[in-house]
Amino acid sequence: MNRKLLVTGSAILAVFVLAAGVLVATRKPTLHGVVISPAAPAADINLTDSNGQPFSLSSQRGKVVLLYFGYTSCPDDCPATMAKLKLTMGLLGNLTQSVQVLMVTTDPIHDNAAQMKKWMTGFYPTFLGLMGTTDQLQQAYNAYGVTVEDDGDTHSTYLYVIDPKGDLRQTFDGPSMDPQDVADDVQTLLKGY
Amino acid sequence: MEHTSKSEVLNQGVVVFIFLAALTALEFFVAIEIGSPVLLAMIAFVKVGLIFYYYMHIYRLNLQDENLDRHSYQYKLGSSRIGLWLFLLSDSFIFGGLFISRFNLLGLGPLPLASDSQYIALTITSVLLLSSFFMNRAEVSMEHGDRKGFIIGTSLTILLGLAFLVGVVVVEWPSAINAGVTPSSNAAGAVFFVMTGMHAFHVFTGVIFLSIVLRNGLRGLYSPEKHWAVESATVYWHFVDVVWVFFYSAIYLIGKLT
Repeated sequence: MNRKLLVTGSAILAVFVLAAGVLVATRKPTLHGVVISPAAPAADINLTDSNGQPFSLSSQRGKVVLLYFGYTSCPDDCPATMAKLKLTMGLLGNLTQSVQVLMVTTDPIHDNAAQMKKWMTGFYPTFLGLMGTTDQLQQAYNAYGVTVEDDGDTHSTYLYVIDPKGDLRQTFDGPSMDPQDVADDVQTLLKGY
Repeated sequence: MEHTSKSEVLNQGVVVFIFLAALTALEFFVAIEIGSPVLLAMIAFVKVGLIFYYYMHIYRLNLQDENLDRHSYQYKLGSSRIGLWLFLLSDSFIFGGLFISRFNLLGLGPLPLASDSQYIALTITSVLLLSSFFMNRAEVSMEHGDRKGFIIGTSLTILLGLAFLVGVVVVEWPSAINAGVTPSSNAAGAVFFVMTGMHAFHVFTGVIFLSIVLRNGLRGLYSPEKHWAVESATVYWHFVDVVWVFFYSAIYLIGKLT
């Protein structure tokens, strides 16, 4: 009686374990944002960073880049997005070295290097602000489909997620995104998915 | 009564418990890593099948013999078993309603519980499973005239039942309330509290039932031949465990990943 139970039970258990194993082996990681499919190379950005150094997006290969467009005297969406990204960094542990948060200014008249550095590092030490001439900035806005109106006061609020290979993978709505989702996706992308 | 040796029946209880524990661990893994509701449902049904057959010995319903003397203990025992299972069936409709309402209101999505809920739930589920294991030993002991084994098994079952209640009411509920899930917060909160509350109430009544059985057992009221109270308390206790197999899956496992 016990032998029959052992054999049948083990067989059923084995089938379940096998099914679980197959499902685990074949599962695909999912991204939580609005996925860009197929992934396209992210347009390069050549600007000046808030340390006064020349900056190009293509120098960030190997890192996940979280790109945002905003300005430092922004009263609502920009600080909300940066605060969420700060929480994201908190969830990433020692992976933070492989993540670069960038904010391209939409208000080149008021955002100078010192102001941007102070504002960005106020959220997290490695956050970087990017500036440039109106032409350079306009080129970046165009490349990412960002609308800037009212001298920068009104702007798109997407967060662009660029993988370590330099491909644009997905966007989040910056102010409303979940830091946990962003952190999970950063980890997924760093694994090479 | 089965014509098998006591040790064989006890070993069978051990084997069943090991399978139940393995399936519970697998369930947890599936919920966290795969999130397939179909696989979770299949595992739950196998667990319930094991409990129905080996711990609740549902096949004993078949032992009803119409040729027996209507006033004999054996005949009345058969009728009592049918009555007990009919009661369990009617009770299932209440639980079934709650179970369905979870999917009706929340679909296959998760309940917005605190992140440590998952581990509290796994712990209390293990406690309840362990209590079923000891209850099985208590009943088998009584069937074979081992009064000491019966008393130890029943006492452990009562203690584990109380531990389960503490886990739900003192640990899990405050944790949920801290996470903003209250009975009146939204549909998910209502579902969570009414499901765990209704189940905990059944555990509570089971503990009372078992305490009375233990007291009477200590007084020597039961014999290997006549112990319907022990058998019915046992079957009721396992039924409460069966309900939790489904509820655990529905509250904590389904939608965990999505």
